[in-house]
Amino acid sequence: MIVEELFESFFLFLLLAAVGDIIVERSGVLNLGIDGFITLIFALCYSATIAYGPVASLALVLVAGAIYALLIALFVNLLHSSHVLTGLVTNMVFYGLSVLIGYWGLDLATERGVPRTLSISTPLDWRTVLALSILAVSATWVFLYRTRIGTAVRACGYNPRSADYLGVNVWRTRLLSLVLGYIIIALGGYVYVLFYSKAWTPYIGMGYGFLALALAISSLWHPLLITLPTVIFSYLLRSLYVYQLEYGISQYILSMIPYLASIVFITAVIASPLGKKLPIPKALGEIYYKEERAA
Amino acid sequence: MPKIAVVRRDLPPTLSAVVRLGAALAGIGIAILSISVILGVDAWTVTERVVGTFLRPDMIRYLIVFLPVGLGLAVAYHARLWNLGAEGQIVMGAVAAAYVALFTPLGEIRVVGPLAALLAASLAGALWALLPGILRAYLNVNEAITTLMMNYVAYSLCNYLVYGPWRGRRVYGYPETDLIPDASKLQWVHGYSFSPWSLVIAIAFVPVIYLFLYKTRIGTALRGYGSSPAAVELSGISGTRLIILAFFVSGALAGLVGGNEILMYHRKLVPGEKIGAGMGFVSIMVAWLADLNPALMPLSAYYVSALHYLRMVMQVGELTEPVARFFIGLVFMLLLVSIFVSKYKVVIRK
Repeated sequence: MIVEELFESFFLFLLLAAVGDIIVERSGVLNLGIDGFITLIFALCYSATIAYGPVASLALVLVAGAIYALLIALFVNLLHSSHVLTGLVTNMVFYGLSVLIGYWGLDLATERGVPRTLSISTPLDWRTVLALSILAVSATWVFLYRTRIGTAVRACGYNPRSADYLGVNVWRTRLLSLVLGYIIIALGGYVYVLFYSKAWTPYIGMGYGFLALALAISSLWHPLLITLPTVIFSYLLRSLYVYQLEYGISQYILSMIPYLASIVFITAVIASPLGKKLPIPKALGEIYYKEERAA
Repeated sequence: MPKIAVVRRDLPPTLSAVVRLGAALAGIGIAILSISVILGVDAWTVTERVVGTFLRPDMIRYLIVFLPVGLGLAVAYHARLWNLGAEGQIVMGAVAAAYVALFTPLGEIRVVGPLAALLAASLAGALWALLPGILRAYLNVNEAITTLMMNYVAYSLCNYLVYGPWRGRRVYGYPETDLIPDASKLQWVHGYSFSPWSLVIAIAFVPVIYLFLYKTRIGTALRGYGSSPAAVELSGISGTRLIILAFFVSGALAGLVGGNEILMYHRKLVPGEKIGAGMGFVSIMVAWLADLNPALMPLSAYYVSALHYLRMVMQVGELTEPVARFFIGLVFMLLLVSIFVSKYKVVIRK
């Protein structure tokens, strides 16, 4: 059935990553660090599940999300570093670290004589996935558009200086949305490892973070609009190998399709009338320098 | 409750250089420490090898990559255009150079062959950078994300060629093309894997880019575009053209390096991940380590090349590459802190 095809665990992962990214970027933090984090969280989740079981792994993964958010906040808020450089550097560090953590899990599995593939008794069926994704999307929408803090978050992304004049603490708001966003992204990583891949290979997940970033841009950072492109992309990504088998198209040609498609998609949305209408986080990537308020 | 405020300041250039140098030295310390702890080699041996890599000419092979790419990226970053696609531009340059050397008669001719291949390579890199550049200039599409995506597309395109139509007849199933003709190869300095000509070309770009950025009208406009696009437009220079030019120059230099990698180092086209090897991303930090100043770029490229070469020296199996990534990343984190120290200070008010 087509619904089962569309709403499965990979879709849930991609949706959670993109929604988390929306929360982060709505506060004006350009979130390139997401790719390193997703690579790290796959390795951490895999190894922690082997070592301590699925429940402890979930707790650990969520804590890791919060810590990563604190690290990014330290650089972009306190150290006034460029958001792009911060993202690239943290990516580099955590790509490397992820492999070390992943091998620790693999070695542990061999040592204890358990299979390297995780065995989870209850797979996610499409109803659960659908329910969870509706919950995630609507909760994010309510948070961003119907609460005081959410409005402050969007204000920080649109014009941090004006937000500051109105009494919003920009640093604190950006920190909050980073922590919240990264916890959601971490949850997505947990879903991916436990219900989709169930295994780990070096650098698995590299590039998915940037894809989530592209999805967020192509929905103009709106949590309700993100569902459609995510459905399309997750379906596209999983069905690529089918085309390879059925039509004999080279896998290397196929593997560039998601990236090309996202460029086309972003361009089309930004050039369309919709792109000029919806308010987007204009100050994305802007370093907020508080003491310049008077100038 | 004491209030913490971060206040802008400008350290004098010498002191600022000292801070940057301190970060670089501390970075070497981190490299030694992380290698000896994670890989379990004793610290003294590691120190010896690290000092060794900074003195050995082998790392010039990486300098030839990092210096021109860093210079090109500095042009784009001066205009605050985030070209993060150097990796893909290097790969496309490599593809173009391999095409000229392998599949055109030019490849068999001495001197003309390599020159034509390098020209094609820089053109390919420039065109690859131009697509995100055009999208940014005319439609205001965020260039950081599109250039990142183009990296993956370039990887796949190159892999398609080496696994498919371009796979060599004498490579026993390896995903690579045949070797390029001898006439196209750039000869190595005896005992090392770099060519003196490539080094000369790489160094020649230092004054060229310096003069372009600081002594020409367009270069000055490019630097101004970063802080105030409106002012540049008002002075009668088209912002759209500046964006296109910045992407073209940075792409052309990255492409040239990619072509050089084929003629000088690999001597055949290999999968994209092996050509780029993350060096396009590391080059971004090379540019920032030198504060985007072309005159300082040789120093920062030297430092980063030595760190990069270090992993070739530490042969410890499958963990070498991730550990190298990890410590180079840590070194760059220190760099971000050093930028902060030289630009801001923390004031605590009671």
